Amino acid sequence: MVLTGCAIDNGSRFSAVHMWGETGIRKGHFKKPRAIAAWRGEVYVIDTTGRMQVFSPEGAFLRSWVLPKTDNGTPTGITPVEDGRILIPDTHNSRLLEYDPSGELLDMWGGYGTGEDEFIYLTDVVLDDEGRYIFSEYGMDAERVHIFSKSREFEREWGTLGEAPGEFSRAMSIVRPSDGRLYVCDTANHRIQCFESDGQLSHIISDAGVAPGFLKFPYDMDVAPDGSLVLCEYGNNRVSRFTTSGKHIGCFGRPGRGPGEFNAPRGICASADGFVYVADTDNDRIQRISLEAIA
Amino acid sequence: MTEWPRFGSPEALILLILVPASIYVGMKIRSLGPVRKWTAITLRTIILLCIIFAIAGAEWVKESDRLAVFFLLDRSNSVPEDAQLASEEAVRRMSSEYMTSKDDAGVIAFGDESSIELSVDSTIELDEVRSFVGGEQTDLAAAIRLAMAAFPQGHMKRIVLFTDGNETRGTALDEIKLASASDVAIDVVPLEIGGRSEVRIREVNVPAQANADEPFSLRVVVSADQTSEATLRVYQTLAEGKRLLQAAPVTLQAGENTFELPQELAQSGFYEYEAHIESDADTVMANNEGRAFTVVQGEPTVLLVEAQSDYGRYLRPALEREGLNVQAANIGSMPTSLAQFQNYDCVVLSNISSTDLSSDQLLSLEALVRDLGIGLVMVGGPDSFGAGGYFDTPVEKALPVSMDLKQRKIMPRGALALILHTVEIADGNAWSRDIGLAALNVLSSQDLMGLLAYEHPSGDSWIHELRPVGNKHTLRMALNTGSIGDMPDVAPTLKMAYEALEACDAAVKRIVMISDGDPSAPSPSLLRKLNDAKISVSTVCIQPHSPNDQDMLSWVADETGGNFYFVTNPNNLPQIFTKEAAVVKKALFFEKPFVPKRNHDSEIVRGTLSAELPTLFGYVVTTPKENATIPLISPEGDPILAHWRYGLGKSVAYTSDATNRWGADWVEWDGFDRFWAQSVRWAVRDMSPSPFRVDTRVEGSTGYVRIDAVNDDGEFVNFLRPEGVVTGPGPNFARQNLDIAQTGPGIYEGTFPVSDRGVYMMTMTYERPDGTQGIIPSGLAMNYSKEYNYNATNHALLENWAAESGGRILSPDANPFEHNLTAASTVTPIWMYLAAVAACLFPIEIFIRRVMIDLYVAWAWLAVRLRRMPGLRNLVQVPGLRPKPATGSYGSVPSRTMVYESSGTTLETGGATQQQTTTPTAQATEQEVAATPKPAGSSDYTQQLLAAKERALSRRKKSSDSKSDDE
Repeated sequence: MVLTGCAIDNGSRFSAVHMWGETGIRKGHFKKPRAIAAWRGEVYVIDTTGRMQVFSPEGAFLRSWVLPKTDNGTPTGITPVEDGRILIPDTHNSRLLEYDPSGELLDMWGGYGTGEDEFIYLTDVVLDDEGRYIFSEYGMDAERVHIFSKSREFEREWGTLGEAPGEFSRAMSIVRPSDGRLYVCDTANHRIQCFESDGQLSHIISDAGVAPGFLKFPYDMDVAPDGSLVLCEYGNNRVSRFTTSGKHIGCFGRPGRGPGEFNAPRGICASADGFVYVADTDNDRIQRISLEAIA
Repeated sequence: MTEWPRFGSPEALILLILVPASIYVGMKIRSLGPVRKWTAITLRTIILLCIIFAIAGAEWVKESDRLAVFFLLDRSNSVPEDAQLASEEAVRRMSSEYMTSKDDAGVIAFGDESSIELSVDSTIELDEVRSFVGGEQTDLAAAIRLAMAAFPQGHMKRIVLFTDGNETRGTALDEIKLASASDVAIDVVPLEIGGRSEVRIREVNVPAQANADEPFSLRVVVSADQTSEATLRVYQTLAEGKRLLQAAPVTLQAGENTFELPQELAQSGFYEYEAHIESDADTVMANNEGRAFTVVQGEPTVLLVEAQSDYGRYLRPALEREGLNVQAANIGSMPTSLAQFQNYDCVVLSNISSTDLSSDQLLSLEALVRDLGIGLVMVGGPDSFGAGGYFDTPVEKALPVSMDLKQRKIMPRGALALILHTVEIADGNAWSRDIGLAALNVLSSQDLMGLLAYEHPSGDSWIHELRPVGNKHTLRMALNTGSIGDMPDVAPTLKMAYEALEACDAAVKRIVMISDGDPSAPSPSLLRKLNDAKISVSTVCIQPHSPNDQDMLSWVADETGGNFYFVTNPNNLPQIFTKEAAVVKKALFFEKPFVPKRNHDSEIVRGTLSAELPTLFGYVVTTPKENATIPLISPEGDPILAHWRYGLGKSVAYTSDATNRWGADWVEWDGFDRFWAQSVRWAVRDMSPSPFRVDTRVEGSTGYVRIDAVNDDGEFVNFLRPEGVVTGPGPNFARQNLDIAQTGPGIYEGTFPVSDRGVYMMTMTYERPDGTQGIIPSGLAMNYSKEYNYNATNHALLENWAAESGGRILSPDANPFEHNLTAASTVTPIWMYLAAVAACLFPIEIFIRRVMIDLYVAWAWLAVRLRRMPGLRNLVQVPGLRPKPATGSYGSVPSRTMVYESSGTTLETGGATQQQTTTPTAQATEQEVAATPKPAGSSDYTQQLLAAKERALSRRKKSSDSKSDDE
C-alpha cells in the first residue's frame, strides 16, 4: 500500500470520522457521489444517478430530487448562495441550474460551445460581492475562468490550455475566500492558482507529488470557517489543507475502504461548524471529519 | 424463530442402547476412585452419544416466520404505461399498508430481460422503476428464475406477479411448478389492458417465388376493433430506397379486412414489400406495418463493391465484357441487411476495409455464403484481408484463407500502446478488456504491446509495460485483472507511451487511445514530438458527453497521422482495434515484383492461365485454410488465389489486387477478363430454377413453410428429401436447422420457432430421386413484436398460474404480506461437529482413566518454587506429604507416582532450613526411604523392587560419603 505520509492511525483522529452511505439507488445510497455542499445545517450530494439528496449533518436522509437531464453526465459542483439559491453547474450539459432548497428548478441557462456566452464543461461557480457569476471551465478551447455579470451577460474570461503559470489543464473548482481573490483547482497540473479579481495571477500553491504538501489531481476545494482551503485529492486519495498564502497545514487520509480512507474522492465541502464532508466517490459514501483532523 | 435438532437417519438411534451398557461397564471398574470413575463414565457417555447422533445424521433446524415477498412488474410493450404506473403504485400501497417488521420485500422488473430493481430488504422505496429491461418480449419464466435465485435464505417466500399474462418467451408454468415445489407461493395481480381501440396489420402476403412477367397478388390483412377510416400504403423496397406502389383510403370493418394489389415483376431478384396502415382509431403505432418477400429467378446478378479510387476502372468492365450481369456499388450503397443481399448471387469485395462495414454487414457476408448459398469473392489490396482488419471477423470464417500469421517466423515487428480512458461509459472496463484482447490476438509474439490506464491508487501507470507479446499469457492476465480507473488527464499517459515507443526498435509505432472525449487535450508540443518520432495516434471516441466532444480526439489523430473513429456501435470496437493492430503489422503487405506460381489445378482457373503469368507487385500475406484449394501461390508459398465451399455457398480469395497498384501487368494481360469472369462464375450461387410453389407465414411463435412440388406436367414430385436452414434476425443471425417433412403428395412442410422481430431468411435445398439438386431461397418477416398483438388480459392463463402454485388472484389493494405460508426452515447438518467433539474427548477420557495426578504433590512442588520468589516466602506454606496408603492401579505394579503417594513422611514446614530449601529432594528422598513401610499385601515383585532401590540408595550414599572424605 502506498502511504501518502498523512498519518491517520492516531486514535483521536480515527474516532473523528463519521460516514454514511453504501452502493445503491435507495434513499441514502449512492452511485459515485461526486458533488457535495454543506449549507445551513444540511448536506447536499449529487451522484451519477443524477439525484440530489439532502441529509442532516449526521447523514439522516431528508429529501431528494432528480436533475432534469443526466444521460450526458452529471454535475461536478454545488454552490449554495446567500440569497437562498443553489447553483449547480450542469457540467456535461453546458448550463447552470438554479434551484431553491426544496428542489424547485428556478432557472437554467447556458449552452454548448466555446463562444463568450457558451460553455464546454463548466465545473464550478462562485459569486462575487456584486453578484457576478465566476465559473471554472475546461474542454477543447475552453480551459478558462469565465465571468458573467449578475444579469448573465458575458464580462470577461482568461486562461488557455497549458502548464505555464496562468494556464489551465482541467480547472475543476473555484472558490473566493474573504480576501476577494479567486483560487482555482488546476487539476491536471496538480496545483492551485490564485488570481486577483482582475485576472492577474497572484501566486501558485503546491505542485505535483505524493508527499504532504504536494498535490495529485486536486478535484474539489472549499473554504473552511478559519479561511483555510481544504481540498480533496483524487490521485492521492486524501484531503489536504492550505492557508490562502500557500502554507501547508496538514492532510488526512490514505487509499482504502476503512474509516478515514478514501477511494478517488471527487467532492469536498466545509461546514460553518467546523466539519469537512468528503464525497468518497468510488467507495459510494460520504465521510465527515473535523477540520482539526486535517493538521 | 424456533430451533430444534432432528436426525436424517433416525433408525441409527437404536444404538442408544449401548449407552446404559457402557455406564454399567464403567461402574464395574473398581481400580478407579469415585471421582475419576464417574468423570470417565460421563465422558465416555458423551463420546458415545456424539458418535450415535453423528451416525444418525444429526441436523439443526431453525424455523423462521419472516416473510420475503418479491414483486414482479411486467414492463413489456403489451402493458400500457398507465397500467405500468398503476402496478408501481400498487406495490407502494401494499408495502406501506401491510408490510410489518417481520416482512422483507424486493422488486423485479421484467420484459425482454429481468432486472432486480430493489433487492429484498426490510423497506421498499420504489419511486419509479429505473431498470431498462426492454419491452419486445414478456419473459416471465426468466423473471421467476431470477426471483428464486435472489430470495434470502430462511424466509417464507412469496412472488406477486403484476402482469397481463401475455407471455411471449419461455414457459412460466414450468417455473411456477418448480417454485411451488420449493414452497414458494405465487400470487397474481392481473393488469387490465383491454379497452383500447386498435388497428393492426395482421399479415402481408406474396408468393415466396414468382416468375418474371407473371402476375401475382400482394395481399394485406388488416384487423380493426371497430369500423374506421384508414389509409393503406404499399411500398416496394429497393437498394436505392422505397418506392410507393399505392396509397389509398380504405374503410375498415370490425374484424379482419383483406386488401389485394396485383403485381408483376420483370427482373430477377429478391423483392421486399412493405405495407403501412394509418387510422385515427388507433392507439399503438408499432403494429401498423408489415413486410413480405418474393424471389424472381433469372440470370445471376453479381454485386461488385469497390473502393472509391478504383470504382469502375478495371474489374467491372472485365466482368461485363464476359457477359456477367454486374451491379456496382460503393460502401455507401452496399446492402445493409441479409434480405437485401438476396438480390444477388455473388458479392465481390475489392479492397474494402472491414472498418467500413457495419457489424450487421460483416455478419451478413458470412451468413449469405453459409446459409443462402451466395458466393463471396474478396479481392486484395492495402485495405483487405488482415490489413483491412478482417482478422477474427465473421467474414474471415467464410474465406478460404486465414488472417492469422502465427506460423510465420520472420516478420518485422510493430509496437502498439493502448491508452484506456473508458470507465465512465457503461461496461467501459469490460469493453476495454475486450478491445485489448482483440488487438492482442492480431499481434505476433515478436510484436510489442503495452497497456496504459489510470489505476488506483498509483495513478497513471502501465497495466502492462511495452514489451514483446510473447505467449500472450502475461498480457492476457494483465488485461483481465488490471483495475482501470477514470483518467482525469490523457497527457501523462500519452507522454509515457511516447517515451516507451520512442525508445523501442519497432518498425511501426502506434498509439491507440479510447476515450469519451472529455479529458483535457494534450499539449501541441507533445504532439510535435510524436510526429517527429513517427508515432501516430489513433483515437476512438465512444459515448461522448456531447456530440461535439470528438473535437479533441479528432485533432490529436489529425495532428499525428492516425485515424479517428467515432463509434456509435460498441460492437465495432474490437474490429477497430484489430485494424489498428493490423496496421502495426505492416508485414501483412508484401510489396515487390514477383511472378505467381501455379500450385494446384482447379476448375476455377482451368484454361484461363497462360504459360507465362504476368508479374504482380504485391499481395497481402494470409494463411491457407486446411480444406481450401490454392491454385496460385507466391514464391514464398503464400496463397495468391484460393477457393473453397463454405456451408451452402462458395468463396474465393485473391490476395493481390485487381488494379494498377499491384496488378499493373495483370490489368493489361489479355487473360484478365476471362480469369475474373471464371472466378466469379464459379462462386455464383447455384440456383436451379425451381418450379415449386413456396408459402411462408407466421402464427404466434412459429414460422411455417410449405412447398408444393408439382412438375411441368402437373404431377406431384415426391421424395425430394428437402433440408433447410433459417437465419434469424440480428444481432447475431442465429442459425437454426429447418426440418421439412413430406406431409402429402408433393407437399412438404416445416416449422421453426420465431421470437425476435425482424427478417428470417430461409434456404431450402432438395435432391430429386434422379440425383439433381436444387435450392429454394425464401424469407418471412416477423413484422412487429408479438407484444403488439395483444389487446386483452389473459385471465385464463393467470388463473391457471395461480392455481398451479396454490396462490391467489389478488386485487391491487389486497394484502400480499399475510403470514399464511408454511414456515420456512433452515437445516444445518451438525454430524461433523459431533464427530469432532467425540474425537477430542476420546483421548481425555483415556487420560483420566490411565493417569492420576496428585494435586497435593503438585501444590507442594509449586509452593516450594513460589517461596523462592521475593516477598512470598512467608505467605506460601509448603504442605507436608500426607500419609496415604498405597492404592493399586491396573495390575499389581505401582506407578512411580504411587511410590511418592505412599510416603508417610512429612516435610518440615514453616521455618524450613536453608539446607532443606536448597536440597529438598535429597532430604525428602532419604526420609521417604527410611520411613517407607512395606505396603500391605504387596507382591514379591514389589518387595524385590524396593530392595533394589534400597541398595541403589545405599550405594549412592556411600559414594557421597567417600567424596566428602576426599575433600
